[in-house]
Amino acid sequence: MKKISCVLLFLLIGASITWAAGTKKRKLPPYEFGSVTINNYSQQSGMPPVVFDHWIHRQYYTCRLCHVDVGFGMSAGATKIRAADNIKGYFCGTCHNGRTTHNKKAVFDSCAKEYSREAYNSRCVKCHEIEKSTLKEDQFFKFAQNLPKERFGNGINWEKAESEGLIKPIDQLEGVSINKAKLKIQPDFALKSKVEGMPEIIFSHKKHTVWNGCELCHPEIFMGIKRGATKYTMIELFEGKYCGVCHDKVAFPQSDCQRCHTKAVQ
Amino acid sequence: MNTIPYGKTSKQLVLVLSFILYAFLTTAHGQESWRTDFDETCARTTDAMSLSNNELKVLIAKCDQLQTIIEKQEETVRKVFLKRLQMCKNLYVYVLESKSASEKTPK
Amino acid sequence: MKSVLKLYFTGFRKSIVYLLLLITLFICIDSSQAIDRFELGKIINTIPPNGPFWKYGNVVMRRKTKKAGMSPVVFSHWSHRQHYTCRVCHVDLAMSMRSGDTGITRADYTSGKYCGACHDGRVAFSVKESTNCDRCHMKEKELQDLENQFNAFASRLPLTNFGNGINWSDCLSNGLIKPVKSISSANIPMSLPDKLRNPMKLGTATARSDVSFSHEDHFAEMDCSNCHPDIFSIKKKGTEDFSMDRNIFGNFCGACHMLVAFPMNDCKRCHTSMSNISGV
Repeated sequence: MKKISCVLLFLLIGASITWAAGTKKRKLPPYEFGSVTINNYSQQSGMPPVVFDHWIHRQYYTCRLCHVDVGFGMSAGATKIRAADNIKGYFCGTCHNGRTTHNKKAVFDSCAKEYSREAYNSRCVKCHEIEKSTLKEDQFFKFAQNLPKERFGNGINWEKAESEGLIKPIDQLEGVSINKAKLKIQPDFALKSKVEGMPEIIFSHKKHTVWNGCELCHPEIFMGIKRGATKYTMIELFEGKYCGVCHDKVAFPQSDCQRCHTKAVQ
Repeated sequence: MNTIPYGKTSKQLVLVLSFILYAFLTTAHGQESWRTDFDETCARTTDAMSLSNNELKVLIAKCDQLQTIIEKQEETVRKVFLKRLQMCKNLYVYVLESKSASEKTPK
Repeated sequence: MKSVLKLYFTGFRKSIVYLLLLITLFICIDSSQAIDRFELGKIINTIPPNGPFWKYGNVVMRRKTKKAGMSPVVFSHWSHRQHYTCRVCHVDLAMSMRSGDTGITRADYTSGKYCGACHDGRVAFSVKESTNCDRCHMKEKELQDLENQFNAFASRLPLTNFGNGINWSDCLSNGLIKPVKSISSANIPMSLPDKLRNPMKLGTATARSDVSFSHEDHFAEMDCSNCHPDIFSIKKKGTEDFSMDRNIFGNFCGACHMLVAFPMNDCKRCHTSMSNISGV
C-alpha cells in the first residue's frame, strides 16, 4: 500500500514537473547554492539524508583534494558512500575522524557503529540534517561578508577570493595525497562562438588549475584531443555536460554569460 | 601454578608464532609496497605532458599491474583506489593518444 | 464489536490515504501551470480593458507584511521601468520573476539588498526612514496618489488599449523613456550578437497567425539568462507544448506577457498579421 502510494506520488510529481515547462526555476539563495543531498543508504538505515555544503569545504580545500585524492565522484550519489567507509577513514572519514586538526581544532568525527542519543543529537545531525538551521545561514553571511561579491551562485567571487589571498585552499593532505611535481600550467586559449557576434570564450587553464588537477577534467569530462575539434553547444552545457559538470552546480552558474564570453568582438 | 616445561610443544609454539608474525609482516609490507607503487605511478599526472611515449606506456602498464593488486584489497580500499587509479591511468592514456595524434598530423 | 471497530479503523485509514493521494493529485494539477485558474481569473478581471491602466503590473506583496502588522507592499512596475530596465532588478539585484520567491525581509532591504540598493536616501527615498514606510506599505491615500502619479506620467506617452495603456516599446525606441541598463560599472551588459538582430519568424498552424519575435526588443530590457535556458530551452524544437493555453497560464511568454509586459489579449503585437479590431 505504502509502496503504491509512493510510486503514485513520484509519478504525479514527475508529471507536474513536465507540465511546469517554460517557467523560471527557483533561484537558490546564496547559502544553498552548491549544496548536495546524498541519500544512497541514509534513510534505509534510519537517518535523514546528508546535506553537504560545498561552500563550507571549498574555502579550506581545493576541489582536487576531495575529487581526486579522497576519491569523491562528481555527481550526487555517485560515490555511494557508506557509514562503514567513513568509519574506516575513507571519504568523509578521511578528515572527519575526530583526530585531524584544522586551525588547531579537531575536525568532528563522522559516522559510528553505535551512538547514544546524545551523540545522535550533537554529532550525527551535523551532516544528516533533520531540519534547515538558520545557524548555517548566519554562518554563511558572516563568512561571505568580507569576500568579493558576485551576482550569481554563492554571491561570492571564489576565483577573486583565492587570487587575492582571502582564502587559501589546501591542496595536499598528508598520508592521502601523492607528492607530485608542481603542475606546469597550460596556456589559455580562445574558443570561437557559433553564434555570430557572440564574444569569444577565453578558457583559462590557469584559473582552473588553482583548484583542479589534469585528471579531474581529462579525459572524463573533456576528452577532445585536438583543440577546437570537439564542438560544445550551450544546449549540452545546460544539460550538465562538459563545463556544466561543475558550472551551475557548484562553480558560478552558466547564466553569468560574460564570465566566459569575455573577448570583445572584433 | 604449573611450570611449563621447556620442551617440544613450546618450541612448536614459537615456530607457529613466528610464522604468524612473518605472515603479518609480509602482508603489512605488501600493503605498503603497493601503496608506494601507487604513489610513484600516479605522481606523474602533473607533468604527464612532458613524458615520452615510452615513459607513458611504462606507466600505463604499471597501472594495469596495480589494478590486479588493488582488486584483491578490502572493499572500501578497492573502491577508493580503483577510482584514483582509473583517473590517473586514463590521463596517461589520454596524453599518449593526443601525442600520437599530433605526431601523425604535423602542423 | 471489537473486530467491527478494527475493520472500521483500517478502512478509515485507507480512505485517509486515498484522500491524501487525491489532495496531492489536485495540488500537482494545480501546480502544473505557473498560475492557476483562480489566479488567472483575477488577472483577467484586472487587466485592461477590464481594469484600470495604473493597476496593470502592480505586485501586491502581503506574505510577510501581514505578520508584521503592516499594510501590504504595492510595487508598481510602471514607476520603475521608466527609469530602469528589467535586468537591473531581475538580474543584478537578484529579484525573482515570481512573486514571493525572493523572500525579501526587512533585514535584507535595510542592509542595502533588493529595494535597499536604490532606496537608500540618495537615489530614491530611504527604506530606513520611519516616515517613508507608507510609501511602499500603501494605504488608501497612497494608492490614490499612485493613481494620480500614473495619470500625470502616462498623459504624454503613446496610447495602447492594453496593459498599462502605454506602448512601452515605442517609448523606448522613440527615446521618450531612457531606462538605465545597469547601476554598477561592474555589470555592463553584453551587446546583442549580430546573428540575433533580425526578428525570428515563428510558424503556427496558419500563416495568418505566424509570430514575429524580436530578440533585439527583448535584449533592450533583459539578459540572456532571464529567459534561457529555464523558460526557453535553446534547443531547436525543444520547446514542447507551446500552446496559447499554456502561455496564457503563465508559462513561456506568459511569464511576463500577462503580468507586466503587454498582456496577450493584445494579439497583434506578436501575431503581426492578425487584427485587434473586429471585422477588419
